[in-house]
Amino acid sequence: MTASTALLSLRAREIARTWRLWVLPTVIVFLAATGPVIVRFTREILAAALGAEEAAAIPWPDPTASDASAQWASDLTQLVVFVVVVMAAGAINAEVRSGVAAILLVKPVSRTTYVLTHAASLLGFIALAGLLGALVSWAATSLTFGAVDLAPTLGATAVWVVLAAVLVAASLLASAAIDAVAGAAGVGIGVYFLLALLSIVPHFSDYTPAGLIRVTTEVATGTQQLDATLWWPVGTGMLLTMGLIAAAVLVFRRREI
Amino acid sequence: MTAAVEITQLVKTYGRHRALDGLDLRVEEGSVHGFLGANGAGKTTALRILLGLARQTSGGVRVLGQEPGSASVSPRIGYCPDVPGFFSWMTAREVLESSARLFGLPTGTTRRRIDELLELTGLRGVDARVGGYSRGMRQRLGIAQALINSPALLVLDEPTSALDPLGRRVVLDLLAELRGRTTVLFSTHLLPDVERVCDTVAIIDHGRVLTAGSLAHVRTAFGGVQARIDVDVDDPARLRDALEGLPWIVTIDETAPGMLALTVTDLDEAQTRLPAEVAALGLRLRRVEQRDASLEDVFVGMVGVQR
Repeated sequence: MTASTALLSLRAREIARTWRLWVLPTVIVFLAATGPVIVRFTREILAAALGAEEAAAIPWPDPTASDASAQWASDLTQLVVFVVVVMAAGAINAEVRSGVAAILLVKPVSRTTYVLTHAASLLGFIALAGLLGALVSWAATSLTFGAVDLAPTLGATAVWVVLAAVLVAASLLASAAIDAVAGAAGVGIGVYFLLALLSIVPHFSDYTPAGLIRVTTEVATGTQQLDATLWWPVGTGMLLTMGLIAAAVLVFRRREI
Repeated sequence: MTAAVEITQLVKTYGRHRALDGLDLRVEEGSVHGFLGANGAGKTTALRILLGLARQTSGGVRVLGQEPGSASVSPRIGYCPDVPGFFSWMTAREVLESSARLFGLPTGTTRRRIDELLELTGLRGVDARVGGYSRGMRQRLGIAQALINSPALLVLDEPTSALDPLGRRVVLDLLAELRGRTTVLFSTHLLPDVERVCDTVAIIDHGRVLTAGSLAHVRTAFGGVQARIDVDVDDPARLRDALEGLPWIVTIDETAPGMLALTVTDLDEAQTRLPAEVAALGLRLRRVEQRDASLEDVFVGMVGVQR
């Protein structure tokens, strides 16, 4: 077993043995399972909260499976991203502060391997959690609205994984550079809001990672074509992720432990 | 002899603060070397640089003949910091297993080595997670993981600082056993530890080595000659005042009522001049006794003079 695979295995066990295993899948599965139900019964929920007459006065279209898919995309892009950022923000700096990094890095583990295994384990875990969530969301939607196609939900989740990868990479870079976990999380959240702001600027949404938030929803609802307006945000998002991870490696290689 | 560690004119600055100020150090292969210094003297900074965890501002460092942190060096090094950090969710055995995997040790060797080290450090049968360990247990586990790869160079930062007397004895005996097979470099401010196991010693203060060499050399060359005098007076402070400032006196300490311990540079001069000084004050000299300088005398004398 090489040092890289040994460290990757260590990272996987860390996820499996700590809070990380439970928090992200729990949040994702909860949202995936409840989202379609909430969409389906929104009118009833409003009626219970506001009273039947006032709720009836609100023009409310009949809920559809597409609305449930849009809700899933919305949950991923507006809620789950913050869990992802918090997970990545403490990955490196917390280990440096606790002394774990020093113990690892005097062994045959390069700093590049150290950062890359963090990125790989986080992204792998997020992708798996996303897949689990997609399956649960599809099952819950099918149960609530009748049989639906799995592809849009899976496709939207895959696009969201790219968005999550950008945020993980940005948070890892901050975690490699900044001692405070809160500071690194702030950078990750800042990048998210920057992308959200840029997405309303003409062309940015079509040709940069800023479009990932829009594309996630549009793939979920089946309104996104498989054309350049999908592949540009996805492709540039993947490139940005690689660039940010490379920057994290460079920063961490210069960091004193 | 070949040097396992060779540091020349090492400088490390943090802003305007010079943590290391031209440090020179040579540790011979197979020796047990004590790196002595008060808190903040620069010991940990120097160790971090030679482990590749920090970079020097200037100066040269060679570890096992290579650059610090290089791929050919790290498999041959063991390191335990003063407060070792571990994944809190692991048990001691898991820590050692993951360390062995990082070194690529064969499974059979790993199992045997882990059993030996857990036994040696008193952690065998401890199934609790590391997160619940005391500082002493963490330090023992730190030493165990540092030895998992049977390193050519073992670097320990204050390895006994959190240990109880029994644990301390075990670790010191272990370090003594490694002599000749493994080069051991350990920093400490616990002088008895150094006197007990070290072949050579370097005393560091304000980021530079004040003296280095074998224990015997450092004691005789830098400890001066100890002369103990016993004066029968009500007010020994008078004699102290009279002696302070004399060129052949290094230090004066009151060790008991009426008892002064002197460190002198020249025993002959002390034996000639001391009775005259005592007589001039109207005091009676009861006894003058010579003893060898201890490392503590050297350390206090040198570091005290510097501060």
